[in-house]
Amino acid sequence: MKLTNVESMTIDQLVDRFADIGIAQDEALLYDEHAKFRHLYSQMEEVDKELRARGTEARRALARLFDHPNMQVKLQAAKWSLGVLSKDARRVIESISESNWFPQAGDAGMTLDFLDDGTFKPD
Amino acid sequence: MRSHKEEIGTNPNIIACPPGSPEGGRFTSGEAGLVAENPTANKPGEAGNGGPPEIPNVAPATEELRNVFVKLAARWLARALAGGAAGPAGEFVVALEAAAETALWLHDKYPYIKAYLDAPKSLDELQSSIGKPEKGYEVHHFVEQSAAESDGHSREDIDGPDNLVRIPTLKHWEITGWYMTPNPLFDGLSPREYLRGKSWDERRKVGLGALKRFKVLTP
Repeated sequence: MKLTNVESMTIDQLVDRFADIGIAQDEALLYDEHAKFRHLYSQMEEVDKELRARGTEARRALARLFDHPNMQVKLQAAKWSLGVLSKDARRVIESISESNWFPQAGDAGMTLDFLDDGTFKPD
Repeated sequence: MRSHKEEIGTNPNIIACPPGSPEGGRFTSGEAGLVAENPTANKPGEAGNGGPPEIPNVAPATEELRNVFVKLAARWLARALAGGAAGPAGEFVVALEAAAETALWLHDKYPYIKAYLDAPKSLDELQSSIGKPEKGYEVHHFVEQSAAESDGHSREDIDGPDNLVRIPTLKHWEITGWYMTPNPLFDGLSPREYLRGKSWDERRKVGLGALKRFKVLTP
């Protein structure tokens, strides 16, 4: 993945980058590349931080990925936007949990459990 | 007999990516069914039309790649069966079994695929099979052993029959993968890191939850 300066990106470009990172995460999971996944996670955090710096509407732009064909992208977009799109994002997570598309279905189910018992408080 | 490279080149379901491209030498599991192949390596791929992964004509070059094929095949079958596509699933099983008769690597891996298709079981069932080793299954500590031990929990508790279940190996890998990967739920910590210092009961609750959510344990 190319080195990028997220501060110079438009919101659309940030959302595209988020999707690219999610696709790479999906592959890292398939290959059990946990160190690579951690690196990709840091890149995703960087995109999230930049979206947060631009305000609520910028974070809501992740909703564009709720129909993404890659399940990891879809799941991450929903998890990272729960604080600003609670109902829609939760609906996406519920649908993934019921999808039988593993490992994301398991991750989505665990997310719901942690949301429901109050461990996870999206901001 | 056609080479793997020729096969890739004529199969409309496979998108070949040249070595050196960002995806070179890899293949992916995306829902879009992209396949990135290095034509110089013996690597399996997934059909681009939502169909099952292509059964490699030649054994994938490494154990890692053989396992990747096994994961893709098992997951595709599980989804097909859950989605009511018994016909295509049956055809794929027939093809897998036929290939496993002549391909030693697939013969060796087929039990892992079969085990992955198990319906969720009760805790009693999962625990009572602990003493019956079987290919395709592994013993899982649902309160994770190394993390619990480093937090001072006793080996007696960790290896106690109450903490052990026999589960499909591929499910074991999926659950372990979830425990190991950073998660925005825990501010970027992995569940394993998040649980550090937590009580046995809390770890047990998460462990049981994971078994249910990954469809190993009945709800």
